[in-house]
Amino acid sequence: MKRISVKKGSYYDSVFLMLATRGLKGLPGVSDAIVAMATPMNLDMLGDMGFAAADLEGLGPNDLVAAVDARDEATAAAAIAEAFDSLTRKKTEAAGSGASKVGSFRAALALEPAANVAVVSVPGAFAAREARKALEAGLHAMVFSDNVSLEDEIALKRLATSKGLLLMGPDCGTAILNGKPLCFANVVRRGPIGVVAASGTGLQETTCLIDRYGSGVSQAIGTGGRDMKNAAVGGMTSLLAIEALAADPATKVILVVSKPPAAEVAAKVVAALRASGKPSVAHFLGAEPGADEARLAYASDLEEAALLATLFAEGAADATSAKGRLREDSGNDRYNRPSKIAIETLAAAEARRLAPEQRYLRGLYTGGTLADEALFIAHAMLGGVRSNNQTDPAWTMADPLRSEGHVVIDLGDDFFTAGKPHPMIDPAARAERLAAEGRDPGTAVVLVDVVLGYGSHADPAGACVGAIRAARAAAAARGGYLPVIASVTGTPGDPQGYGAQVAALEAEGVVVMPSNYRAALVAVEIARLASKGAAL
Amino acid sequence: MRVSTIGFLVPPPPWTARVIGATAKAVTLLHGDGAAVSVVGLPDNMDARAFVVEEGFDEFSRTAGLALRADGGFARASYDREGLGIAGGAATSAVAAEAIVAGAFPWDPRPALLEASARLRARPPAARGAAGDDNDPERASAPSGLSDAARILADELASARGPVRSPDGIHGAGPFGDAFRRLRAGPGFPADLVGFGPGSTPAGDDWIAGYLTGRDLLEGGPRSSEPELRSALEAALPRTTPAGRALLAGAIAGAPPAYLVELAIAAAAAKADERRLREAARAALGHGASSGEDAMAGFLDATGYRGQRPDAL
Repeated sequence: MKRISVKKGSYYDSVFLMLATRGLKGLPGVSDAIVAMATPMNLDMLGDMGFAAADLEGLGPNDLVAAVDARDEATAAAAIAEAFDSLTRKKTEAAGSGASKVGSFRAALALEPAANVAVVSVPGAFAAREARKALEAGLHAMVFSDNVSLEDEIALKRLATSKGLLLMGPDCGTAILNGKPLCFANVVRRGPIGVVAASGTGLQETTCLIDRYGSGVSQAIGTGGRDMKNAAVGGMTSLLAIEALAADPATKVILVVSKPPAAEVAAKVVAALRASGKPSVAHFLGAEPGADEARLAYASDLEEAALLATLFAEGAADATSAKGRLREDSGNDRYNRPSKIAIETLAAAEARRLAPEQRYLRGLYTGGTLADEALFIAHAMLGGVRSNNQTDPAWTMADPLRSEGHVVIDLGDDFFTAGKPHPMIDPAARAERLAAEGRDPGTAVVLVDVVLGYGSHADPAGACVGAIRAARAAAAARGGYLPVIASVTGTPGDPQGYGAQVAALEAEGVVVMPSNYRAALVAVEIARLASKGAAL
Repeated sequence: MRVSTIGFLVPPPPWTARVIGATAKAVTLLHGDGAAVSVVGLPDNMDARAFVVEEGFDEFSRTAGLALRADGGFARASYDREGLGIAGGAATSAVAAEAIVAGAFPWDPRPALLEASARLRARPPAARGAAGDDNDPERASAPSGLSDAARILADELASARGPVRSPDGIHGAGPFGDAFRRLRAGPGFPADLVGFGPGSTPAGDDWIAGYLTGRDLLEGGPRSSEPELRSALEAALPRTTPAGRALLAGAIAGAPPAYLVELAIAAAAAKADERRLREAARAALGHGASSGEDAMAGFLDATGYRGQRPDAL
């Protein structure tokens, strides 16, 4: 059923038109859709596509046309109504949402003179200047922007430290301050655990798991990826954040998450945790956990980091006692974590359904830290995994657009996002890659993350189920079967709703695990069995 | 509020125009000649006919948006010797913007483009990477003097398009992509692209703007190339949207948008400064929904590049 509707004399930003087209194409029962200006060339094309000539008469370049090919009249009408509604919503939001718009930092501060945190999200070349203005005015600064030079970062952090202010970032995508989520962050309950994280989705995963385990977060402070990793930056923000959490009476436990820090920075961070006098947990992704101390436990993955912090908050006396409570039996434990035996059983059942040529893991991630966690696990267990995040040149993907062997891809990497929205905002690129992996006969299992919260796509699970369906159908047509393993980073309080997102994935036959760590274990085990032929 | 004209193509005062759009980056006015005039906050967002509100663009945009809503889409802007303002009638008079034209912003990209073209053409053929330099098939496939730049741009374009190209645009696998490939093979290409494709500035217009910019760069500077195509485009302007008309009018006059000007200048200097070209390409790719990508594809086509270009697939 082809149907056309027109808005005479309408002007919309191209981005809105593109999003409206994409939104229509994602609706159930819609096979094709175009939202475009009614220029003669576009009308000719619509005529060639079989849309009724009578519907196209009398239109001109100032008119907007929505053309939909749907399974029936009702679906087409509903789709067109949704297209125009979404355009009106976006135009209204853009024209004036009621929030005050200002043109400078000074004007913003005049409107909110009591503000004590500034979020800086401007092109990188200007970010340092704006952050400096905030610091000089006595505000903490969260720098969302990337492409800030190392020299600027060091200078800003020195200035911040001298003033006792936090300079979060650059490239800091998430924080929760006094219960207020900033940028990409989740709705987690408030509680006794303070988090310092040099990784965005690492912070999101641990705070969401803490919420799921029944505890809560006092503050979650992002530091920017270079803070601990780069010796010259020296962990200035991390150290100040730990000091602030140590002084915060609402914080009973401190959790630090980072990619492997520079050795001298790690030593300073550990010393600061000891000096805090509070039970602490440290997790350095990809690094061997250190030797536990009485009040300082090292976690080997993000899930364990969240759980150890929760156990400390519940009163575990020391690291030994907390880790003692982590032991798993054969079923799910009280934190709903499937045991390793249960994971192996599940993986074996999935692997038995694979065709012989299906051998490889394909991890498609929107969150960088989650990708790294999966990569570390997979690389160790599968004997080599290629990735655009690999630090070992021997395993760096030669062409990130093409999968070869086992791969874990961070689709939020600059390579994929130049000139495009981040896949946590617009998961279309991931959906396309997912469908492509489904067409590869070598794909044995697909592993994905679904990240909820403020800033993320309104329905990230819904945005990839179509591709999952297509990928599984392609495998089935070849006589195979394609397991898709996922984790959902989110909480019931998130705008997208954790339960609804899990249900949408499970309805497509996706195996949803309670953490990225467990999801990676399942997927890697399936790939391991497939690679060695156990699936046969 | 400080307002300046930024292009030599802005019609002289006085005139009034309907406000047809107000977004975070630009307020769009429909001038009586059928082409849009933009009001932008940053010169980087400029089209060929535009004002820049150097301070307080957000306030101006908000005022325009409120006037648009209050007047059901009939708000008007006026430009006279007193300045630029929003005149929305009784419903919006309370929020009318006051503006002062504080001296014209002397933006005219033609001298810079002329100089870039002269520099490019002054280089010896070998330094320009002309055909026959070596046996590299891709180099030989860009016989224009811009082979190094072309390969860099093709690389950036391919990277930006991600794992699979968007199916919705003129370079995708959807209806617009299919129609683009048909048009490309036809005798009226590229003039037939006027008004073709998705977007309030149709993607075909962006492609043409990029193409003309590239051809001018190679042929001696603004307005130096494609006289017949230029005539055809001028005749076809009524077939596109107000935003498309403004873009094409600028490109025909040798004044493409600022991001394309920088792309052209950087392409001419690519041999010495690859980083500048990559930065210009990435800035272009961030322009609009797909405008920068489409314009870059047109620019690349103008260089004669026939390597691994997505259009050629």
